[in-house]
Amino acid sequence: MRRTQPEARAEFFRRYAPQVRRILFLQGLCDEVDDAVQEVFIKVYRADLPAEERFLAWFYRLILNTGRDQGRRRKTRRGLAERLEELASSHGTHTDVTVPGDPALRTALEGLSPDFREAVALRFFADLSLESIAAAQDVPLGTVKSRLHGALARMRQALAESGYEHET
Amino acid sequence: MTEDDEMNDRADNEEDFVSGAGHRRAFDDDRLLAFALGLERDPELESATADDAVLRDRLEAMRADLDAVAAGLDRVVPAPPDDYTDLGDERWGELREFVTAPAPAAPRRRPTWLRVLAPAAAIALVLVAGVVGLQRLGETGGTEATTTGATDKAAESSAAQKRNAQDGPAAGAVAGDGVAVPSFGSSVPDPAAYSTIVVARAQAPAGSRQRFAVERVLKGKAGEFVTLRVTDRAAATSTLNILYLRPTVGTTPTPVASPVPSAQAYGAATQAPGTVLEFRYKGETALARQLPGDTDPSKVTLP
Repeated sequence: MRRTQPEARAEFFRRYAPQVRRILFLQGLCDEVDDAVQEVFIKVYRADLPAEERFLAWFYRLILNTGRDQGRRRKTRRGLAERLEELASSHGTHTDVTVPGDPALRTALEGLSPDFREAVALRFFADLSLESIAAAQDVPLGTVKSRLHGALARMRQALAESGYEHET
Repeated sequence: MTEDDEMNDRADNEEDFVSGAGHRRAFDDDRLLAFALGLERDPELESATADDAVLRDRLEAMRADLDAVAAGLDRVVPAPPDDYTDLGDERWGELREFVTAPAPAAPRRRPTWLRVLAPAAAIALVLVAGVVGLQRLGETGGTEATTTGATDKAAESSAAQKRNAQDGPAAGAVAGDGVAVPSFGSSVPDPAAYSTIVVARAQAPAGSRQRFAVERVLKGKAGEFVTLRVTDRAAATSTLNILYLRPTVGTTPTPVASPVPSAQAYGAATQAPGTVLEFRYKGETALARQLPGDTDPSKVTLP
């Protein structure tokens, strides 16, 4: 992406903004999430971009750092589960579907540490490889595996305990 | 888990040992989860599932659980609606300048006064270069062909300048037939605005980087090589360039159009105005002014 290509910037935004929003939301942002999305892209457009092979790791690290910074400034102290419930009822394509396991999943997500949630977001929303997640989180590969393993085990357990698996 | 369940589990495990399927116990849920998630390659587990239907079922159940988690994540953190990325929406007001204006960094890189002055100065440079060329021609008794070549070069340069002036700051990439179109036009950078200036030969660019072999240091200190990040266009391989590095504090890191072309300043370089390309060096703007091919680095001097 070059500075002289506004259309390339717009295309980049259209392609990545939805997943940036979901990552930021899972980091804990809510009302301010669109401001954070905008901030991410402004930073990208103004940045001295790294070489192509390092771009994605740089980009996702920028998203995570923006989310962390915004999170520290966040005014609302409502819990993540509550905010996620609001999100599901106001956005998305599943507004008419009430799934028994969802409250348990929200609670499980809220119970995860931010690092674990970030790993989950990068894996499921950005579809990043383990190596790319490690680069974005700036941690060893083993740490990423451990985080994903722990997070998924808890979410799986939460769903099982909610009886979700028996009702679907 | 009820007591009955636990008893059944124990019974199952005992049956495993009796039936020779005790190896299943080695494949606990953690191991299955790591495998199902793709966290670990597990050839042992893979081959075991081929022979063991119970283990295979457990793995399938694990995968189904993970699918359920993934589907749950999609519901709990849903993707935004399709019109979310409509850049015309008010919420993206601060992005508009980046996706509709020519370039956000253009005013900083190339201020208005420079856009006006640069083409004029470049044309003046071309004219003076032509005069100098003609003078040298008179001194050396050059052939008509040489004069024609110089004129062609001047015309080509002038045309490039006109294109550049018309296209504005976003036209750095508009180049045709291998003619390098400079970012700033063919103005002469101000040496006082840079703490390091070297004469260096361009090597083939690698990705967004281009290395230059330093042949002479005109100002400041420099190593044997300087690697620059290409912003608009790389310098042609093997060309000799004057590199303006490390803008001094408080000065504008952009080329300054010289009102009077420095006829003696660059020695042989004054035979033709060089294209000026913009690079990045250690986070700052750097410029490369291309010298004519027959330039002797030892004769290049700063004004």
